[in-house]
Amino acid sequence: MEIRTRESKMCADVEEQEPVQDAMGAAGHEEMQKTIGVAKQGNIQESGGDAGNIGQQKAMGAAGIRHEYVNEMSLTFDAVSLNESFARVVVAAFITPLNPTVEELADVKTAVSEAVTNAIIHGYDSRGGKIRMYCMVTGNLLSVRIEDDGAGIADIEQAMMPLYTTRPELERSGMGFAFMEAFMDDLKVESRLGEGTKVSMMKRVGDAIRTA
Amino acid sequence: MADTKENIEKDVLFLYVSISGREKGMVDNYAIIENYLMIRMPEEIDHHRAVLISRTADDYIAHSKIVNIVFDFEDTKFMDSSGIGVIMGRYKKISCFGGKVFAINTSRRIRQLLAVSGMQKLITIME
Repeated sequence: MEIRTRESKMCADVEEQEPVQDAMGAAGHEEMQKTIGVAKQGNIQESGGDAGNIGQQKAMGAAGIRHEYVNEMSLTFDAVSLNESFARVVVAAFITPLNPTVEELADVKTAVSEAVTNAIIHGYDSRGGKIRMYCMVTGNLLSVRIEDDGAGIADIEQAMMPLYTTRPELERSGMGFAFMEAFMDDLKVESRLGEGTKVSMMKRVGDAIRTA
Repeated sequence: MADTKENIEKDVLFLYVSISGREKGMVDNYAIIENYLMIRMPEEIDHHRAVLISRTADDYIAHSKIVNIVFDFEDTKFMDSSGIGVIMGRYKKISCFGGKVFAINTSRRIRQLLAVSGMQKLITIME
């Protein structure tokens, strides 16, 4: 897979960030699952003294991140333009517990809207297909991945250049990736011609959710 | 104030803004005032909505004596790059005939989107 990674703009959090970034690949997702499992265990057993602490320590050791709260969702929907609004509402609802600011909410909705629209227009050439959306919240970090099994991107570098579009006849502004980059903290695009595209984005949003 | 072209344009826009403020029962989202096409943009502008707006606007451009276009963002709460595509597309169509594009009733967010996409160099943006 041709992988293009944008450097995270959150330089101060690089150390904290890396394990999560690694987890964004398909294999990495499983790793993340394991970490989630251990962290949850830790939380539940907290009152159990040592056992709980070990659980928490494992969580910290595994990823170097203290998981305050983990929430995850996945959704598959038809690649029709009507669902652009639907996807925006879904991600907005998912991050509501984080108390995002109005601007953060708009940023996330815009970025998701762009990625979904790309999958519909470019991935499936507006002919339809399935789009998969994965969202995960760890602490106050939102990770979103939009996947399609469509045409794929021939030249990712070129595709991500502002104002570049392969569909000028559709009056596409060519600003989709530029908007995603502007409004999210991190953007990664993986694609293989004829096999599909994965767009992964991350953003720190609002406050962390804390378990009661 | 001198009767410069710019001042006349501003007068027309202020006139429109004050009219639309009172006539809440405005049925159409499109209106033609002098040689201006006024487009009241919807609450959400994404690819789904943008297609229809572009087509309708192009219809007006083709069949009416329109020189300039005004996008009214008063109702708009969300816009992604598809909205930029609508603006850019109409701008290309009318600018070669000397037409101008205006954006009125823009929120801070809309102005930010227009800035990120570089539209503020091509169109006149009013609050």
